[in-house]
Amino acid sequence: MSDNSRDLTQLLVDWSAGDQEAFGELMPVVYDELHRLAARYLRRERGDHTLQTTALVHEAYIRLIDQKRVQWQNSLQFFALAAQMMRRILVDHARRKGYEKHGGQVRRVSLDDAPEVSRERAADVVAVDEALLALAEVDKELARIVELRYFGGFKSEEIGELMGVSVPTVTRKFSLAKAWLYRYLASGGDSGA
Amino acid sequence: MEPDLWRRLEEVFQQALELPEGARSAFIAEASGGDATLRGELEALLSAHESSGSFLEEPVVEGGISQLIREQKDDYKSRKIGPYRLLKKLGEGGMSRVYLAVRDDDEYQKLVALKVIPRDLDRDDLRRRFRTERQILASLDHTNIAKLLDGGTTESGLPYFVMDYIEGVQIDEYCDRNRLSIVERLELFRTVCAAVQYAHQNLVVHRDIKASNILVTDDGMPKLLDFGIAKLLKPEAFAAPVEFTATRIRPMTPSYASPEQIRGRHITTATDIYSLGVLLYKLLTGRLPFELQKSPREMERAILEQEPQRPSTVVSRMSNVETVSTDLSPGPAVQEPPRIQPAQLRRRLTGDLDNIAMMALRKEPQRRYASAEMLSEDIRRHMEGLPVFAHKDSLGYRASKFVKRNRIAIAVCAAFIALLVGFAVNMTVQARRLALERDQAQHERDRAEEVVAFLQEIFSFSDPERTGSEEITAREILDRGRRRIDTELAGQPIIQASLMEAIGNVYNTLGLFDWSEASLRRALELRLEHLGEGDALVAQSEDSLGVLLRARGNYEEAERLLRRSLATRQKLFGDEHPLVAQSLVHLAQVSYDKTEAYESAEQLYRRALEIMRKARGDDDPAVTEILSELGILLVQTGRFEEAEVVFRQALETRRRELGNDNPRTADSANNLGVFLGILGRHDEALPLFRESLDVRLRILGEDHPATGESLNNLGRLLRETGDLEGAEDLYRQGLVIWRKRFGEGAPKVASMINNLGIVLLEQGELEEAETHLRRALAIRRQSLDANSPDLGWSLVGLGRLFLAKGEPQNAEPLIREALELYEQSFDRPHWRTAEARTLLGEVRTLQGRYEEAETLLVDGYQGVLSEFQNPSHRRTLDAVNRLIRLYEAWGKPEEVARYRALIPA
Repeated sequence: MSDNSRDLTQLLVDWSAGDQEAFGELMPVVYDELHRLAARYLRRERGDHTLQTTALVHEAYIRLIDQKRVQWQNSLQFFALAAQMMRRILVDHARRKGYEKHGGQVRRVSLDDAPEVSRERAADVVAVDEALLALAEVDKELARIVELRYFGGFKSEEIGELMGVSVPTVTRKFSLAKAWLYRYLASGGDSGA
Repeated sequence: MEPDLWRRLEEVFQQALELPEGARSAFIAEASGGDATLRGELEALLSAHESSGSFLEEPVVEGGISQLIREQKDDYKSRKIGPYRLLKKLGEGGMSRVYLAVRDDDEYQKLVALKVIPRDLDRDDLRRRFRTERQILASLDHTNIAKLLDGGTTESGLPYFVMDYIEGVQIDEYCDRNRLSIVERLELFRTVCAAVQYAHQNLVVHRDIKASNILVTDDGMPKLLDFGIAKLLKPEAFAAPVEFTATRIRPMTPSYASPEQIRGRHITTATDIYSLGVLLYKLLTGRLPFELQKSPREMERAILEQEPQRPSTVVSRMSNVETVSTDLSPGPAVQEPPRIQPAQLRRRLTGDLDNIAMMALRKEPQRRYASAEMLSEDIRRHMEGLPVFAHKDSLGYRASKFVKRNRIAIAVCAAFIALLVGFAVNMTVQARRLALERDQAQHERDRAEEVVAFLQEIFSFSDPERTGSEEITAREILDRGRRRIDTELAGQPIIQASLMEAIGNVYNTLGLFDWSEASLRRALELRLEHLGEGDALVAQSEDSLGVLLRARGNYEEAERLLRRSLATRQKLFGDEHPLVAQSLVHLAQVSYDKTEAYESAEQLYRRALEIMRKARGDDDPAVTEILSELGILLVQTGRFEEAEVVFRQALETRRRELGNDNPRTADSANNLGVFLGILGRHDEALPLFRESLDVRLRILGEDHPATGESLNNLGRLLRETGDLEGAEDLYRQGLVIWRKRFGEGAPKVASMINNLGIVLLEQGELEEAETHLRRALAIRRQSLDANSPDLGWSLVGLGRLFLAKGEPQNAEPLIREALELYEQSFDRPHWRTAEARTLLGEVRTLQGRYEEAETLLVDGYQGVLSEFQNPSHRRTLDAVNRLIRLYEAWGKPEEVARYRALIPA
């Protein structure tokens, strides 16, 4: 583990304890690390997105965080952060692959070179990303839930644990978010609100 | 959208979702009141909800982080290994993970540390390494070593083990945090030394001793952890540390690594001594002898080539800085209690502590302390104001120590030392002057021998055999003498060697084997260097060292030395010289101890006896000595009548020539006692053992190996007479002495452990008995030849345990092995063979193979009976009882009754 891991771990702990400045310091480092790793994985990747995404975050986690010093809650925070990072990385990746948006259309962008991402769930990640940005302006919490679930693969229990709300609350909020996003995308980016 | 409106929307949306689809529209109309915007939004969202289907339901990347979360969560929370619930990861090393865990079915919820190979690291070599660590931990049971509690394999077949969870702070932090004084630090360090010494005695070299591997608990108890790269030694490696080859494992912590670790050379216990030196340095100064350098290469060079600064120098440099930066700053790295100022600390370290640390840190393994115990002992000496071994000697030093400690004795001792050294110096000065005039080498040697004869006379004052019980100061005199010889006679290697040897032999007599070995090896080295092979004095050194090494169980090197010595002596003095006889005796002892080559040993003894009788006459102590040895051998080969004659003869001669209050006479009494005990003549044996124990206790002291032997023998006698608890008590006492003196891996220690195991077995303490019996067998398998009949004691012992547990399948291979050994070793009927046969008979009884059992048992019973010629001997009765058990099982009441009648009421 590198020397600055201590600082990162402390940042993570501080952030979990509510220190927003710590988050500000933590995020770029984690992002850089994930991005560096992602670049490596994505370059040689020919399909096994699943495995590699996991491995990627895991590696970042092991590399950056001194696990002796963090609690489960801290780790969960880290993964939430990682989910956010994954969103950026996947979107960047999709963009680079040339799936540019066409103004005003529902953009059916999918990760064709990542076959295990099935077309139904699909993930026009670029479109969802933008829709989420719009949702966040209305309700940050809803956007976060979608981000965790859709980009991070968090289950409702874990989201509840992370955000300190009950599982049914998470489920209900997700329903609303999903309806809102669907409508947003279906209407070509006009939330109507 | 306004926040308020949005919240309202969310609320209504969720309430609507709980309604059946048909009722939602009406609900919305009502709930939004007159707000058309809200109503429109809600309807749009509900419609979106209905048509969104699986949109966003699955994560964009399957598994994704969630999979990882759950893996990690498992790691943290719910994962179980065996009956243990893992609470959190404590650490991760190159090949294993350690978790804090708790036993689920344990009502006390005791926290433990669980170590397991992670699935992704599962490799054969790591498994082997892991098993070794587990095995090593299992063999160690010491208050200051984290204990192995349990082990097993996980559901997926990965090995794990469970240790004490030590809640504590790293030792250096502990010292600083609690502002321990130097004395307290030293005490703590000595406790660590004791743990390391214990590991070494169990043939384990830790190889990674460092502050972070020693945690101190709240109550101040240091615990040595992480035997992850520890190494199991073969026992020979102990006696001859430099000859041991180890695999090249690079240490994990360069700051604590010894030169030989850096070089990838032989690893011995001396490696741990070095690391202990680093630790001591750190505890005293707050610094490491070699702070981390810019590159690994520089670090290695420093360790290999540079002398570290003396602790006092390091401290004084720091102090200056501290002094300049005012008193308000927290003290130097070592936080002495406030009353000690930096200058005082420097003064405190200057001298003894400097020297002790520097001796442990020497580059050459053989020039460090020979054991952790010796390092610890030297610190104790320092704390008690005694002279330390590591000191660069000077008259002023010795005088100041001496005055401080004992004002009354000083006059006597000072005079004594002045006499010793004065004489030696005088003689050597003369020798040198004369040497200029005449044939140099020859003359110097003559003179040297004169000096030696004189000094040996004086030293023999401290040989307990010469002085009855007045040996209290012997150790002191020796220790001082040794220092003096080392430094002040450095220019006179031949004289120096002779004195070293004299001291080495006396140390040996006192049972201080480490010191003895160091002195004798030094003497041999000096003589080889300055006289060359084939010299009579070299032969003498080889003989002395050989005798010592045999006592320590290092048979191979002992034999090599003794054969060389014998050859030289025969060449120089002819075949009939007493010195040749002496070599023959010593060689006989080795071949007897090592392989129980009885026949060749007997020939050697008889030949030596013949030479010695011719040269010195029948009553000479040397003749008696050979007779005693021969007697033991005769007993071992079952020739009791011859043996009794020999033993009585030896004892009588010694009583007459040496008096009753003499260790040699005690030896003879002991030997006759052993012999009578074997024959079941307990009433005659008891007073002899008591006499022997009494003399040894008084003259040799309660720590002496021979005292341990008396305890062992008396214990055995008590066992024979049925006082099992008394026997157990004596064995335990004796074992403490022998373990300390011989080290855990010595065959002798195995024999006493075995005895303890048997006594426990006979008291029905099967569990503890099993531990001891297994341990004894393990030591013997490691230290004895595969065909040594001594192995049989342990095979039979453990075999009996399995019989007692009703596990004939486990007993059988052991007993068969013993039987084969005995049949090969004894070329005539022997009670041990007969007894083993009865045990195999018992195995057959338990297996229900009654006819085979009967043949073996009857045969064995008759064998034992005819050997001891005593129907009420315990071993005879054991055989009878085994027959009774057979016939009971077989349902033959008449036979049962017939054999019952043989047992005295």
